Amino acid sequence: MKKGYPLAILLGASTVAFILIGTEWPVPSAPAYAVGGSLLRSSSTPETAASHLADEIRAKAWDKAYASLANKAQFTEQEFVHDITGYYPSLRTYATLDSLK
Amino acid sequence: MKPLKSAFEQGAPTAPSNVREATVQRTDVIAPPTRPIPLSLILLVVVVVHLPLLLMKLPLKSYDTNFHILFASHYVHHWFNPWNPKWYAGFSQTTYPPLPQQWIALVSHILGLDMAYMAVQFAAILLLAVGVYRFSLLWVSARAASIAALASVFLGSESFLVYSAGQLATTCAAPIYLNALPFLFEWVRHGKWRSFLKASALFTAAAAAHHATLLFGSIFFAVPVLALVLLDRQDGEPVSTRAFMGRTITIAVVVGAAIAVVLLPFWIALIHYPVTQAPIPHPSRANYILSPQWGLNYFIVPYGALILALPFIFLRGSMVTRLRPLLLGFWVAFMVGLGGTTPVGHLLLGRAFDVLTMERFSYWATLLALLFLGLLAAELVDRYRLWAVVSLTVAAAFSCALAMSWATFRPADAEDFKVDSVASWLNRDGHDQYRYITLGFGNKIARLAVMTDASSVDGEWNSGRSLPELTKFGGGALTSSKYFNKPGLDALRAMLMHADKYGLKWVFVRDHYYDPLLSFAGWRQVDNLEDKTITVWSKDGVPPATPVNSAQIPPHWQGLMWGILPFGSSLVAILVLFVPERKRGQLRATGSLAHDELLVQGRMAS
Repeated sequence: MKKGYPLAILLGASTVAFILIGTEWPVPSAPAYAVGGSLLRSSSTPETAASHLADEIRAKAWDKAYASLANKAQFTEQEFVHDITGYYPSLRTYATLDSLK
Repeated sequence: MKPLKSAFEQGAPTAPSNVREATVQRTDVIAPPTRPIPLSLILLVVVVVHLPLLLMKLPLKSYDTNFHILFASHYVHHWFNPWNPKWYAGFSQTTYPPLPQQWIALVSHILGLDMAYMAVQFAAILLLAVGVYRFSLLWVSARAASIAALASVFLGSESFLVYSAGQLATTCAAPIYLNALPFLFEWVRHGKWRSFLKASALFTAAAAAHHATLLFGSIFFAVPVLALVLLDRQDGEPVSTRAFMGRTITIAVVVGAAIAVVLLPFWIALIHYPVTQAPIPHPSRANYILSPQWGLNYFIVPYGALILALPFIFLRGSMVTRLRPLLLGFWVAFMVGLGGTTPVGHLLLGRAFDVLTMERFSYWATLLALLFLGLLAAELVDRYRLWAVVSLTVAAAFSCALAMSWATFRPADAEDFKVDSVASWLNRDGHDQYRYITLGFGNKIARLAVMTDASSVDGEWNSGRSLPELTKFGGGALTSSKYFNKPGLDALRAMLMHADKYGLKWVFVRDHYYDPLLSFAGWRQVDNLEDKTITVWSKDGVPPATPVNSAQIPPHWQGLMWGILPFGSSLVAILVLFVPERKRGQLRATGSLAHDELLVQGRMAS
């Protein structure tokens, strides 16, 4: 092994390891932008599937969220979005403003 | 060419003349171009590539350009009073280092604010090429350094920050800092007092442009330079460990003291009013794998074709002993620049991770990578000649073009529109006696603030905010409340609830998402502008705005300091650069590294 290679391998391996760690256990700020949770976590269990759906709804990734539903034949994507967000311009969305003076 | 032709003629006297001529031309092409690219030519390339775009005012499309122009416009009228009433009902501009903005203010008397911004930015890009060249000379041959400087013109991260992010302060401070580092080397290595003076002046000016660059630059750039002094200490004129330590501590103390004095109002503001507000999300802290759209924005675009050079950087940086400190500096900046993709940034920066944006770390990483790129390009050209030149040119042009055009592909504002009519409306009939906010204006609020005399309770400089309605919820600018979800809408509701307290009478709405909220809060539509695309809402019974009596208003002596010292530090830096420098030290540094470079010739492709 040539001189210097161990350092290159160490840094390269550390980089990959940190990326894996950061992806599997994201820092608190990272998931806010993520859609679908961790790439390393499958949706094989009901818990993770529900978690992914919540992530997608939070990120307003309506296409992905709708696509992940099993019963999507029962309603359109538009109806799904409206169900989540409320029918614009529904004033009920702002019902908490009633107390404002 | 002449000696080659003569030699050939002597060696083959009977050869036909046409063969002779062809052979001579071939010999001329084969000779490897070992001379560095002249710096004057590199600066001309800067002119050719960047000047047209700056004359077109392309940076005005970026996120932060108008923010800097707003600060500059305040300095135009109130050079010695950093209290700006245009945003947040009043905030102190001592919360942001002022140097580039003060230069814009000064130059604007000749060119106007927009072109003054472009002029200062252009000067920074020119300085970057010079800085990269001088910094690279510490580590690699003049030829590789010149290629690194040429590459800086096409650097994706530079174009990204200039044309898409609008980070004037970062792009001004970095070149000043890079130009200071060779003087740091000369001082610590050879004890030259002229270099000490120049390094100190340039470091101070860099801090006056952007404090974070100096802070983190000390880790990523200065520590590797000091390590280089230690590695080279036995070559030529030896330097003892005691002298090394003494000189390092001396310049650290002097520069630290100078920065403490020059930016004293900034430190006072930071200590008395630390940034304790709820963190505001920023996509540069995302995980770029889980959020590939942000990976594209904050990794692919800034790095561009440099990504292809990453294996070379790791290999060459590891194999050449004197490049190892630089490699480590690059690696740390690279990892932090990946934002939330790795836990490194969060671990190293702590709470600052939630305050800083990460793209500047990628910028610094790419600056450190440039000299490796210079090495790689020099070797590729030696080996593959024209093919290498063509490939590198295409890669550089692609990286640069992608970053320059990124503001078009992903604009700061979803839709470009004028705010002139809103400014005119505010400036007439006494409307500016009251405060206002906008909804759905994006970062046009800085442009509007430049154009109107009225004061707003909103703004884009989050660290300058002091109103509790804005600081406690974790939302960003009120104009983009809905994008911050509940925290953003909570902040907006709180502000609307306290409209009377701040003299907030006008709301300009360009996004009708907010209409029901305003209706419920007791506001009514009173006017419309821009062909009814902007509606003006008002609330009855709001008293005229009065100046806020904030404890953050800087006293007069701080205003004087703020107006004199940061700008003065740049004048001092310019003046000391005219002190003539001996060539001796520079030649020694260049000569010593060429030796190392020869040791590893050819390894890259083997």
